[in-house]
Amino acid sequence: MKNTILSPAKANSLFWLGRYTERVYLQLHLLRRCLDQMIDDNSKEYDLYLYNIGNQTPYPNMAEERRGLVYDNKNPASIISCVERANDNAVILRDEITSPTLGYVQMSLEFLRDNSRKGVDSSVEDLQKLTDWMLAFWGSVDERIFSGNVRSLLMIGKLIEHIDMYIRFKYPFDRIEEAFLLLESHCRLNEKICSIDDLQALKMQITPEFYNPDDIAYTNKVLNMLGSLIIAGK
Amino acid sequence: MRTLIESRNSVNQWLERYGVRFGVYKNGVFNEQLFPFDSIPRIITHKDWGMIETGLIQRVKALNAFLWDIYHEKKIIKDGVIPQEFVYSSKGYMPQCEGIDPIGRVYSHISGIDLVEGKDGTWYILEDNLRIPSGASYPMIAREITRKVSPTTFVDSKIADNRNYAKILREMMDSVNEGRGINVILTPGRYNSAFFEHSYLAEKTGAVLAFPGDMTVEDDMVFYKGLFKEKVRVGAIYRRVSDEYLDPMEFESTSLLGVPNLFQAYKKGNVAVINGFGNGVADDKGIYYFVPKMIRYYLDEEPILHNAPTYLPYYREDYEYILDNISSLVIKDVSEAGGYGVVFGRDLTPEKLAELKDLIVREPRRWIAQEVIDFKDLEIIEDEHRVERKADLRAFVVTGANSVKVWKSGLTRFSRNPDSFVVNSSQGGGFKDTWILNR
Repeated sequence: MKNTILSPAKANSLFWLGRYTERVYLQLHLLRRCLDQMIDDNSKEYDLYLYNIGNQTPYPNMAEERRGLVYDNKNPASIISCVERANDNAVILRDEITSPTLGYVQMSLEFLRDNSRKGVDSSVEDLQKLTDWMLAFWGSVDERIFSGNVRSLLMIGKLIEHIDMYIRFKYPFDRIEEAFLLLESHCRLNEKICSIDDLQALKMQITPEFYNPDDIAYTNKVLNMLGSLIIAGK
Repeated sequence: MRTLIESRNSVNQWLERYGVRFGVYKNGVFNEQLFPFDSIPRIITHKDWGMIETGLIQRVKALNAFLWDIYHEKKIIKDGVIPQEFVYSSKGYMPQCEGIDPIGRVYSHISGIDLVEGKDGTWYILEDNLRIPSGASYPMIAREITRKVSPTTFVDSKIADNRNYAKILREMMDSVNEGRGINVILTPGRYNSAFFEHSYLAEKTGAVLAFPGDMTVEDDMVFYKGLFKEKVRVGAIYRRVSDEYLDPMEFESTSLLGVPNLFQAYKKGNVAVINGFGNGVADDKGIYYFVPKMIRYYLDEEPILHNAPTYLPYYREDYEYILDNISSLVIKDVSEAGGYGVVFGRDLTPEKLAELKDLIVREPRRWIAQEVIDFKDLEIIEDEHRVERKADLRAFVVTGANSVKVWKSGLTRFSRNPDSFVVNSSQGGGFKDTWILNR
């Protein structure tokens, strides 16, 4: 029988693997949404995308920038950087997540590296493969991982990233709330992993009355609270 | 068969998908490379394998007996079979291991024995690897994949199923663990050249993949530290960290890769360490010369597998032969591994040959010389053409507390350079599946 003990370092990697794979999935989704809106010449949406993903890398022109946001591995806000970080965490977890699950992250990275080497332009259609692999990654997690702690850490990481990105992109309250309720249920089942006091404090902030993604002070506060929910291994 | 050969790109894509890589440091920079797979298998007949299997078991039994003897009674030295300077001047000899009794008297649990097949069909042993031999994971995963891409190739069961390596390994670990605790595979970390293998073997054996810092020793027992500050007893450690880095309290004090006080726990018999400490004395290239003598000495049997014809400059007769024939011999530095420190006399200029002779004269114990075996070339596909290249075979012998098993497979490595005999992955080689025929 497989032993289920998990080291703090592996737990940390599971959490970040959950976060980065969700980041890749959502960033692709948001990029696609942004590019769609740009068809109608909505450049404001594009600037908002750059700001919200935290892009601080200047590019000489928009074509370079579009490419850089996907393939520039020196830009921490690019999609390839997020996949690299997901892979950094996944690769040390093979014995926990299985080779087929790891394979979806590896394939994504190889696809991006290969495109980058060949100088392939980023097309929305091509990037659909990445979205499919991220979804397949989560399907594989669901299908192949039976350790409660491993699943929980991945899922809590995913949900924290999900809420984080939704708040940055000013999603409406009901979308935040449904993700938060799911996060709350995972945290309550794993009181050794998450701080229930901190969860409770965060819950007080995520209410229709308080929710205000246009207020930078509020956003920073909530994002910080989200980022410090995990207590296991500290 | 044709389908499998046609599917080689597909196999390599699957290998890429599963992250089947090895790391190489070049000029201080770490790079991961795919280990290129060639889909034309090496085929070993049932008859040949029977001889190889029996010969390998014999050899590994003798090597384990030698290790026990060297760290206990030293009869083989006292009886004049092996000169003591070959033992005590070996870098792999560890005085700290004197008198320690590993479980089942097993030192080399996983032995990677390198063989080549001569053009006349004779198999020769090139090298014994008894410390941390790597490479089993590549044929393991390659077979999983080739069965997927070309199922018809394997339909009639002529080819021995090699998908049991993890089971063999697990059973061996359990046999020396004796129920004390969990099995772990200790890796130095993801930037180790064989990290894929460490993680894959952990996945397949169900052992916990442990990193430096994950374990602690208390009361001479080893524990794995969990997320919630719980500690679980460790019964067997398949370590992929070299002896000198494995315990900073006993060996290299600056090492961050080991487990402090692990050696004490091992010494007390509270944890099995796979492979044991101090094995380097038996796979020293100088000691290799004496393995046939060990077989006769410990087992009272004639060696089934031959060494490559080897000369030791230590012996006067050999010394003179080497200096007279250096241009036709292969000279090996006994302290090097991984294909490094191997020089073919025929490739050297007269000046370089003279320099090498000087080195041998100055430090005769540091070198061995071997006849160049004209080993059989194997076909590989290169740029859509079949070409022949040099290849070796690393066979894996797994020794548990009560059994010695040879895995019906192995790592066939080939040189991609048509002029080279060096097949190591770190030197740009590729690998093939090894088919052992059932009948």
